[in-house]
Amino acid sequence: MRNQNISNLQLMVLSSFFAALIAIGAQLVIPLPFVPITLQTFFVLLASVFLGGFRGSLSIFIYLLIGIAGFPVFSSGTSGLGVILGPTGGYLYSFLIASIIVGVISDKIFLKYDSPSLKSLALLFVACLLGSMIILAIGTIHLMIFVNLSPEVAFFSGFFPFILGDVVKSLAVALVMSQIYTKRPIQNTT
Amino acid sequence: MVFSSFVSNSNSSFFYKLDPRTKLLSLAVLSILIFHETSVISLLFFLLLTFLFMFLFSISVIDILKTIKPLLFIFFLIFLLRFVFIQKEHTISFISDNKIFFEIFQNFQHFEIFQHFQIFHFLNFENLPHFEYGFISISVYTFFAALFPVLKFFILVLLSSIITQTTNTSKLVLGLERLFDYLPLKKFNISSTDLSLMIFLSLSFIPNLFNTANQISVSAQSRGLVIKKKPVLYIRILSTNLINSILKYSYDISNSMEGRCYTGYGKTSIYELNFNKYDFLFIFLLFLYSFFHFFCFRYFLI
Repeated sequence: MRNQNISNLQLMVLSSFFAALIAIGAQLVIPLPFVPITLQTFFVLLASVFLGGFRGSLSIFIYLLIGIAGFPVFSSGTSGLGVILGPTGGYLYSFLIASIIVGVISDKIFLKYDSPSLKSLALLFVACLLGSMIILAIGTIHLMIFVNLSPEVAFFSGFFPFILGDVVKSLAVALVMSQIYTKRPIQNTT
Repeated sequence: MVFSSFVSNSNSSFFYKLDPRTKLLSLAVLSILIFHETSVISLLFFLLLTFLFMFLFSISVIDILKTIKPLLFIFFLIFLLRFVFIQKEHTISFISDNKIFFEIFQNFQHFEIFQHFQIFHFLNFENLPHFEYGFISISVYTFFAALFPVLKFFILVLLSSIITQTTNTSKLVLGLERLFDYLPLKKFNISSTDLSLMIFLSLSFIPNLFNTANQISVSAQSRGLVIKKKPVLYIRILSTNLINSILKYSYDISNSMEGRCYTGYGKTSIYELNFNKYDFLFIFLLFLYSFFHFFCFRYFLI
């Protein structure tokens, strides 16, 4: 059955490890056809699904703080508040919004389905896809405002090329969750 | 490895000795100011001031520029997007941030000294050579319009690099922790000490987990997995193993922390942060400058 014996402290440590995984994911590149992808968004979605709404978003908050503090954890080894406020910053702070939404949805899915089934995994896939689209949409809107592009150009430069990669990542999250479904931590309230 | 590229320099000048909270707050204020900037003259003025500041407090310009190197591709991409795809109608409709080239001269005309330079009246978009084809529109105007967001982004990154290069990382994280004391974190059942501990835990495990990820990746490839052909399978193998290892690590670490009676409150630090008179002076000067910058450039000069 599910992993019920996880303390509050272990959850906190797990959240910080997921922040580290997101940082690592930004450096791991997978050469897909047309547009190569990094595993950053994948780990963001996995953190939200695996840890739930609150702990998942906390790990992303920690990741952003590490970047703001000056460690080169953002993609291509960049860091600082300037990157978050810069043209590609929308793709970073949108992680937080997406993780809250995906986490809350996945919490409900896990409450309803105790074990992995085709339906629960399909629902997780849809939730992750929704999260990816939120990240892309906020990132593209930020890019459009910062660079002052027309909506069409912003869509074709900041949204469209990444759709295929995000579908692959959402699918991967659902497949990974099928293997670690029962290891998902639930806070021990006693 | 990219994670080992962070180095903070030590120097005895005034700026290095400032409290990290002062630096973080000033960075936030200046970043917001630059983010909402609409005129290229004020951006150039600000850039000049920043370089002057770096020169005065002996902050190495070369070190700072080295940290910006990874962003060169993004700079180029933004420049290209704006340079090639900006539409003529679009540039006119978004006048607010297009005070790039022509409005500089138009604004100069308000001053008596420039009244004689009638040549500037003839400078407008229609008179310049430009090339248009469908989405693509290239001209001198779009070239200068494309420089604006690049310059803005460059200054934003430059400011952050100055802070991180002139501050000890532990002090910077401690500064963040002290700033979080003012946030209502108790509502979320978490303390600022917890946050700083989480930051340190992540930082100390990034190299470990990176090595583990590399090992998993190499061993999967040695078993005959071609990442390009089966990306989903690769991600599945990598992340399942990584999550298993972090579950094990987290169990060990939380057990040892509980064994040492970790509560999340009353943690002490090797450093002590104190606001001194220089911090107050710096904050005062910063707000004075922000006020001057905001009102003078927005409502008077440009």
